[in-house]
Amino acid sequence: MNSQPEQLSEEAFAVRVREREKEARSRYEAHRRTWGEGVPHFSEGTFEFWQRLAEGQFHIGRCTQCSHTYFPPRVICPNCWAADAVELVASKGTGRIFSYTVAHRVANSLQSLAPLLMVCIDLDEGVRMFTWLRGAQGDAQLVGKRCRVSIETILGRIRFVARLAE
Amino acid sequence: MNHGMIAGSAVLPIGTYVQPEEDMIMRCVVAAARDAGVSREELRGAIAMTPRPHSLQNYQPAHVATRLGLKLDLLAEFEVSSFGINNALRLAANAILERDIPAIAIFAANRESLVPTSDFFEHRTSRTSDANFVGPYGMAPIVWNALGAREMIAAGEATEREFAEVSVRLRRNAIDNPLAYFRKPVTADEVLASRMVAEPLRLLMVCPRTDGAGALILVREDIARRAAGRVVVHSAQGWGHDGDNVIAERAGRSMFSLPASTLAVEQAFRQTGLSHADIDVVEPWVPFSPMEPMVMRGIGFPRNYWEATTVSPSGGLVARGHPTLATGFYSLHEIVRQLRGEAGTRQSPKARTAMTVSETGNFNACVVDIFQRYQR
Repeated sequence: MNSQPEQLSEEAFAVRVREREKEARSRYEAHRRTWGEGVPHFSEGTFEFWQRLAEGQFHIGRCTQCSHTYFPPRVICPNCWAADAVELVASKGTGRIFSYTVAHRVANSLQSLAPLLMVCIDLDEGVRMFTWLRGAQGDAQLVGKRCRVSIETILGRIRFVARLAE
Repeated sequence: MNHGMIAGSAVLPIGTYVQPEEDMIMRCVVAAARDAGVSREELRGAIAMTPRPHSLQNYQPAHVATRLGLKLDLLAEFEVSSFGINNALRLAANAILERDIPAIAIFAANRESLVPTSDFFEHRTSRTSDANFVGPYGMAPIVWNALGAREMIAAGEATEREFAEVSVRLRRNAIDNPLAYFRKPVTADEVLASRMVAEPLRLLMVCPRTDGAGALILVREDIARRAAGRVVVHSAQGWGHDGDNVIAERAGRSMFSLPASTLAVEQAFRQTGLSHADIDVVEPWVPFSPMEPMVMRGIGFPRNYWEATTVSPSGGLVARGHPTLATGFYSLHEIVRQLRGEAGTRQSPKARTAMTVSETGNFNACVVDIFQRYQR
């Protein structure tokens, strides 16, 4: 495990970024083929996450250099700053509802779903996510309840959402 | 810290406007310059808040300066989301000192009414949190504040009625403010009976998105001496940032406790040697009623903070209105009026030291500014 990523010369850094950009173009095209226009937008750090989500799998990120786990995935590890060192690990997809709200006024594109039950979830892996809780009603008793990540197609998009654990 | 000296302030009544931003700004700059006793020749700096994307006029400092016949030694713009007015105050104070500029105008205008709230959610607030992982699920400031308010209730730290009482106090304060949008009182029962917007936040706990404009004039010390009794000194500015943009990276983090505000107020007090007991008036940036106890407790005031300290005498954002780019100008305008003793029926009798709190809630950043009467 290397917690001190190598320091590159400016020239080497420029070469590496250009190489990465060349490689990114094919992934960018693949992302567009899978997801089309709009969100989720392409990023080198999240490309693989969205590809696997489209296949029905939910992952979180882990740094190959320092083993730090984080969500969402990204190009730089927030712990050791290693670049392009994210690997995906399957999440158990289970956690607790930290807080919730029911939004009655929402963006135009979400209006058909209103009122929307939104939740902040602390996953068992120690990371936090924000999403919709499906198949439940807003209720003060929701705080602290167990839930699980569910991958569903809503408004024509594959999304990670949550449902109460059985 | 080099202390900025505010000699003039002007704002337009909050409401909805068909006049373009440049009209609104020009009216404010001239009114503020007259309030400061500053001539056109002395006004040699212009700092604006970057206009919203829907504004028809960009490069407002240069444009407005030209329209007003000004010749400038300083032109700048700040994004309001990066503490525009707070940064502008520091830039102006330093430029006056280092470049010997007699007077600088800081200004903003915002016609928030041009963008319906659902469009505002769609195109702006959905991109202020993570635009791919959080925004598409409908995140907006009201949502994160509702999540924090719900957590606060679940933790036994507040009740819905306490949130409603904040609205009652703010609406009562705004009755005496001729610039405010809402000037009628409400009861806690009325607040709790108003329609739900984002549970547990109800309509009367939420700021109205409105239009407004404001300008401040900062001056060199020789000009400040001309009108010493009217000048307000910017004594300190404390900054705090505690990571995490809206949704925390790690599990367990509270959404209602605001450590950035604690860091900011400690820094401001260190600069001045002041403490909470010295603060007579506070104007916090509180767009939703539950934010008020979160912010006031975050900056270290007791749970019953309103009993010993004058909080939001202008009515705050919930009653006064919230023209986002210009909101900081209304808070500072109230501070200037209070410290001058010109606040009429809403005057705090002992106003000598005042504070603004530019708190961004779950964006987890905060600026605390302290202001005092000018002593020659």
